[in-house]
This record gives sequence, C-alpha cells and structure tokens, in this order.
Amino acid sequence: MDNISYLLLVRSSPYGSARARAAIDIALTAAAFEQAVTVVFLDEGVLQLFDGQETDIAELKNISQMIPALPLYEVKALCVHLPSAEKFGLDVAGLAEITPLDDAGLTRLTREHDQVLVF
Amino acid sequence: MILHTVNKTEVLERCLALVSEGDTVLLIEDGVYASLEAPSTASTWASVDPAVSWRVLETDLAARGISDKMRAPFEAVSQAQFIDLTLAHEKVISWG
Repeated sequence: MDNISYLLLVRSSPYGSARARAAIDIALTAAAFEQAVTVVFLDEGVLQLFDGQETDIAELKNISQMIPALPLYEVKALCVHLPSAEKFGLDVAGLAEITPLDDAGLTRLTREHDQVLVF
Repeated sequence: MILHTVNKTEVLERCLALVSEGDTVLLIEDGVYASLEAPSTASTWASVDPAVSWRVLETDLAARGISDKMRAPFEAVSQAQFIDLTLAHEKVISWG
C-alpha cells in the first residue's frame, strides 16, 4: 500500500456532535494501516484538551482520555493551534506530547500533507 | 495549490486564514451566500491574497435564486468546471 500522509483538522467540540469522535476513529484507522497521521486541534476542537472532563453522569464516552493514548497507537503527531487555545483559555504548557502551532505552522502543515480532512 | 470548498458561510473565516497563492476558494451549498456580501466585506476577499481565485457553484446559486446577485471577485462555475478544478489542484480541502 502506498503511504499517504493525512492531516486531520479537528474543529469540533468534544460532545456537541459525533465529529470529534469520528476524527479519533479515522486517526486510529489510518495509523493501523501504517499511514502517517497528524492531528491538529483548532477552533472548538481545542475544547477536547481540557482536563477534568467528567462524562459518567452524562453517559458520554470520555474523549479527552483517548487523546493521550493516540501516540501508543502510532498517531505520533498531535498539535494544538495556539491562537485557538488562547481564545478559550487553554494552557498548552500543561499538555504533554502535544505541540503548539501558530497560524504559519498550520498553513505549512496543510501544504505538506497529501490529504487534509476537516472534522 | 489547494481547492478549498466552503459549504456554509461560518466556516469561511477559518478557510481564509489558510489560503495562499495559487489556491482556489469555491463556495458551494449554503456557502454561496457569502458571495452576496457587501463590498466592505468583499474587499477582504481581494486583500487575502491577490493570487487566490474566487469561484461559486452556479447550480447552488440558481437553486437559491441569487444568480444575478453574486458580487466580484467571485465568478460562477458549472458542475463540469467544478470537476476540472478538483483535477487542476493538488488536493481538495472540504471545509464544514
């Protein structure tokens, strides 16, 4: 199989729709087939990165717990769009294994990857 | 060179932050309403990058009764031209 690099731009909040969950599923699937995957959390997508999400009472699957596990499944490149994080008051210094990205860095990633998917 | 398809007006801002020289922005579905916007907003189209092409899918304009209300710098394209655009660009980013 040819190797295709995928850039996943995750713009959706964690529980408002199924899109954020779909992005994680696609990332895991692509990585399982040994494709290079980069995931960028931006706009409302950064809301997935807040810690302390208590989803049991709402009977939701906790997405925030799945994100730190992504590198174990070969989804190695995780990034957060810094201006989006600042907009929502998310402290990126506390995020392990997630690289901050500015606007120029985001534009560069969209050019470097073969396929760009928006969630 | 990237073809950006925008299917609702609210995702346009995110798309515009990423477009650069040689790209084409194509408004489809409810995204076509962005081509109606007043010149003050429209001037932002040209200021993004002069080397970006601005297109609108004519079938979606016609469906909404706004074919004659689209403003420059947008130009209408047919379904067939939409296909040509996808082939002429290295990749397509479908926003929204």
